[in-house]
Amino acid sequence: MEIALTPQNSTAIQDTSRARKLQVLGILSGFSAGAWLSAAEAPTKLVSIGISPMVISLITVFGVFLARWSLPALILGNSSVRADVRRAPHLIIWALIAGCLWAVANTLTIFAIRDIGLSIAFPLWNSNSLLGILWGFLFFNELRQAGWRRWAGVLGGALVMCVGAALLAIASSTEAPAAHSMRGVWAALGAGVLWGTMYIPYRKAYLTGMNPLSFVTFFTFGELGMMSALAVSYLGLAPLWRELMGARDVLFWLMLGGFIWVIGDLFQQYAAKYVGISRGIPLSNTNQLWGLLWGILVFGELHGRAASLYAQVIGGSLLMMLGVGAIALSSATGKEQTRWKEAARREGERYDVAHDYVEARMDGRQAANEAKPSRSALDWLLVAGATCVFVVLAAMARVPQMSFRWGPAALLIAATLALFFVCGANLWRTTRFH
Amino acid sequence: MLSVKHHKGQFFSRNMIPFFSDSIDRGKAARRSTLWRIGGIWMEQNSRTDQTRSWVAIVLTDIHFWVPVAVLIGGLLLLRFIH
Repeated sequence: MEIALTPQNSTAIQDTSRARKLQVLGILSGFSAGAWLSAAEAPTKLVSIGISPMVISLITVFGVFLARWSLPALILGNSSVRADVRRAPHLIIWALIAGCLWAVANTLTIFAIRDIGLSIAFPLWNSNSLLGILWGFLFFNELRQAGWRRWAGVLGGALVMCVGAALLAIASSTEAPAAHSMRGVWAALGAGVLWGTMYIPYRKAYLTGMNPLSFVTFFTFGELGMMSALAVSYLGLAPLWRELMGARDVLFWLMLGGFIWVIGDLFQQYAAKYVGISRGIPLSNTNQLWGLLWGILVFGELHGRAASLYAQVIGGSLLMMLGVGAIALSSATGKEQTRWKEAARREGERYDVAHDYVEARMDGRQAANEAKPSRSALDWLLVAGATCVFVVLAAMARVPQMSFRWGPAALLIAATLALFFVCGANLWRTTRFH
Repeated sequence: MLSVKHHKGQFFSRNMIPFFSDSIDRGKAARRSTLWRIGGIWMEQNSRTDQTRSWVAIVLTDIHFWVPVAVLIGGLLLLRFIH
């Protein structure tokens, strides 16, 4: 029996196909985020010890801030940021808060690693994905009417990933510092709660149509402001300046880490936008898997260690991949997506954002009455300025003496770049970065 | 201009949004609000109140806003404690 293709049927088929495309795009963005967020740690690995954790964090954040004015400015131009702010000015506050949360969480992780080591700290703050699922369910209708299979896929996948992460972290740790263990546990848990909660502003922004590129702009202001305040209040202005001057040889590497982090975070934000935070966070938490590959293959960590340790690493990696697979295959159904749209409508009504604009942005396209984004001379000036700072710092930088294997590094860089181009091209084709 | 009134029970009405009102239920009521509260005091906005104050008021009365703020304050206190 043939079904007549009425205009309504045709629209429904198009909507379903578009929703599926965006889901796949969100999953791909989550994977790419994992790769880029872990690659951001590689340049910081080049920095020798002896610099205050607060200063390392501040310089990285400054790199993030500068990076925002390079690549994102090139993609859409700052006119799109202005247009977003005109339509939804309240989102500035959300982005600033998210930036502040990130800065405090990042500082806490440094203390956690110092006190209890990466092995215990990493799985503790990786619990942020479980908190993300809770916030997504409570506030944004995620996983509502999703069915038990998808619940099992997402929640089970996140739990399996946490176990896998714990195994990997134990394997990758060389020795766990014993002093102040409880303090370290609190710091790691605190970082997990802060990072898990940071996704509330992310989701809030995307439900009311803000472009991730605009969100990152204000996010970096919150991040740099909070980190500067923390560094000045804990170290004092004069000692901070002395430390910064003392670290000028390695400023480039730390800021390069910040630059790479911005790209990872952008992918993470597209993941949060298109698959929600309950699925987006666990997917981007695959950064630990990539981090381990960098550590073992490029920096020679675990070299000459026992076979049981390698078994632990392989087991942990398999568990993480299993968890990721479960989450990736639990994409939102039509009923759940209807609930997402209800949440978006609610936000739009509350903040008086035009319904067609919210709907268009949820679909990853421009609203009908929206002007095409363009790049002005100011954009090019900002890009040139940010690039100049990076070039000057690169000229001042010193290459640290350490074990570095170029072959595996080239392979990992190629894989990371491949994800960048594949995901970037898909984002461009499907959404034009909207 | 803002006129200030001390809060009493009878001020609760459809047009008013107390802190922590649920964003799910309030919807447009929040946008139409002419009253908002700071530190136990109800602030009445006249009809010419600019848009900026309006969206700031809506953000401040959104429970979703106070969750990250509370977590941020907790994080700062934790950092102070462990430093």
